[in-house]
Amino acid sequence: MHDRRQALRRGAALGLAAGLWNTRAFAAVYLDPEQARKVLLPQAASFRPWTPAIDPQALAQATEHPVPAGFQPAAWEGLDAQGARAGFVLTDHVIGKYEWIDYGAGFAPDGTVLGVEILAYRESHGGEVRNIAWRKQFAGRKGPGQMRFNDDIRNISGATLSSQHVTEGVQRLAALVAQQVQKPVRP
Amino acid sequence: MNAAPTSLLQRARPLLGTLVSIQLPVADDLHAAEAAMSEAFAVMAHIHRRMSAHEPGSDLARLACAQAGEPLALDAHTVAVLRLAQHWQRASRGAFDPQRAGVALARQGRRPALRGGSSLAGSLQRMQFLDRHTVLPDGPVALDLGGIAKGYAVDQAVAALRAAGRASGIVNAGGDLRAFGTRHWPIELQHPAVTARTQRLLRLREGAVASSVAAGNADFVPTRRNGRPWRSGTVLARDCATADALTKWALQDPEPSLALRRALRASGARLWRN
Repeated sequence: MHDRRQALRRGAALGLAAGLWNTRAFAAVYLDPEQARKVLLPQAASFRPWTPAIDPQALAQATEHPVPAGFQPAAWEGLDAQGARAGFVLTDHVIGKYEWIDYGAGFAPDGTVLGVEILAYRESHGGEVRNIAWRKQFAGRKGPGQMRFNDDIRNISGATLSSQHVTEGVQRLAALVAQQVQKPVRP
Repeated sequence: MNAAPTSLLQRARPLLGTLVSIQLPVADDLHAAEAAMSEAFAVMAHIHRRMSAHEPGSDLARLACAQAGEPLALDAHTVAVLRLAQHWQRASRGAFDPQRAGVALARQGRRPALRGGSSLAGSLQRMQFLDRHTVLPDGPVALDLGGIAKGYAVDQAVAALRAAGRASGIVNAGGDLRAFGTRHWPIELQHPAVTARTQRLLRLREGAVASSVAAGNADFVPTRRNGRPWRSGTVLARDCATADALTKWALQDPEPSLALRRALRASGARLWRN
């Protein structure tokens, strides 16, 4: 009898807590990669993908931060109307608190950073990271149009997310671009 | 009343040590909205550079090696934030203390730009303001404006968006946010520890909300409070700098003191703590 009452009380407390705290994970998609390329390098008329050669040790030395496993940014070389090099755009992701932050950076032909944009940001309870169904909803990186929560845009006040990892990520991308700039331009 | 169908333009950038996002309702003026948005981001990037406690050339780095009695020319934004910081430090009787935070973080080696002079003999309270660009410090002073500069930057971004002719929008710098215009924005409060948990807080129209979390936030330096610390504080106010400063004060105050309640009332602010 005593146990049952205790269990009921616990159940009621849990129910109340679940009602008070909305545990839906949230995500915000700002730009898809195509939009990001245009925003980051508006002077480019077309983009040609390139695959940067990644030497983790040299990168770690250049940026003074360890390179995360599986670091493979998507990279494009921007070309202007005459086909000359207009700059570079690279997109990559870094880990936020538990989940990925997708970001992109635009670079001038000489390798200086023109801008940094967040493409997508998502946050979850640590436990949901392992939940495949939950992860699947982000697969294929849908554009902002598809992921717009019509009027349900979530503005969240609270624990501040640090942008330290994004800053380190941009340094890595800048080091990659610096390598590419030193190579001769292909016709 | 047949308004053009509006969508929402959203962008985010890493600034002010966090992710800053701007949302603007857009009808058929996408290019104007994008221009206004980059203007607002540029203002925040400028404030970030001037008031960084990490970058060697920033205004705070120059204050950390200032000479007593020698006027120092600073950015107008920095002077405005220093004035605000001085006001809130005085009003809160040291509960809000950018100088204590700066000295503590510099000692831990986490604010490299603040390790200027060997002795940090200056004081924010004794700093004099000569004009909009010039201060008269009484010695080198280590300041970390992390408790107020973000709120100020949000206010300036809102001013830039308004000046660019935007009717409504919201600027959110990692949880310190301000909405302007007629639109209502649903605001949720994040759980201090479990980041995916949020709680509906309010529907914000024309105002600012700022939150501070003490637990697990390594950059927060508690200065005064004894006893069980508050885990988080959230303030609703008219502008974001006020809301930001008041959260810091509220987290330090063991009980809602008379001075804090008076300050909240004077700024038309509302406080949540837990």
